Amino acid sequence: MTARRGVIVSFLSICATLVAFVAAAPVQAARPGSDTAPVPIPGGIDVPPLIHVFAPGPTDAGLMGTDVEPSTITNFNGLAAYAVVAGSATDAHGNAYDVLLDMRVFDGVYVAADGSYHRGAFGFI
Amino acid sequence: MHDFEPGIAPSGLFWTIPIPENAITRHGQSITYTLTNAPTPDFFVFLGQHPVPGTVSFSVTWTAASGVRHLTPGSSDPTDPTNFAAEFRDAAPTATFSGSNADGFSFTGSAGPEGNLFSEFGHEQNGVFLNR
Repeated sequence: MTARRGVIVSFLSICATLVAFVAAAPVQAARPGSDTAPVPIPGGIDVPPLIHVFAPGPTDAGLMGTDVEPSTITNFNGLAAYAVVAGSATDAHGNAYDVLLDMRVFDGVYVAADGSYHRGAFGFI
Repeated sequence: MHDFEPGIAPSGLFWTIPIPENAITRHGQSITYTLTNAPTPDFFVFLGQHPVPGTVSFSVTWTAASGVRHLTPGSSDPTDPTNFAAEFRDAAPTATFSGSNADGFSFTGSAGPEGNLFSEFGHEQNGVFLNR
């Protein structure tokens, strides 16, 4: 969530989760000491550095197109929600801000860094 | 300037953290995600290097606003932004949120469908799941 006084630019990337319909992949127990974290998508935006995220949405709004990957997790099969929405905010001193929210959530089966399969929910804040 | 986000994992996973399953509720054609006092540092600027502790709370609802769009991979290159498959519905989003940092800055706000630039939700596959 990014906020700038006067003109707030806020990336409150909130993610909501849906019930996954991904029963096809077996879910394995992790071995002790193994890395069961999800793996980032290989592509992304080269700021630089390369950040492993895309910005779906209309190109005339400065986004990358409506057929663009919203997930930040690769080897993922599940439900995803994504929203870019403008709003407003007020700080404790009564100052008003414009806000832009980027909200995402992912819930499903993924292949972890160690190659094991897992089910999980993840939010993009 | 403030930038509340969980940071980038050593793996490169970008601003993405595990969330509790019970934070999510479904109601017909909509879903709501609510989180309270989630530890979220304030990095002050995009990709900042000197965060201070912070928290954010929010509730976001996506409500379906269209039929299903079927997306097929637009490229076989795994780094391409269209290298995924999905069945998404456009959505009308609403959100309320608040946050604060250890320096005493705090804020509250909201957003609604009138400010929607692009929202969608549905089922998707990428990576090894594309060819199954």
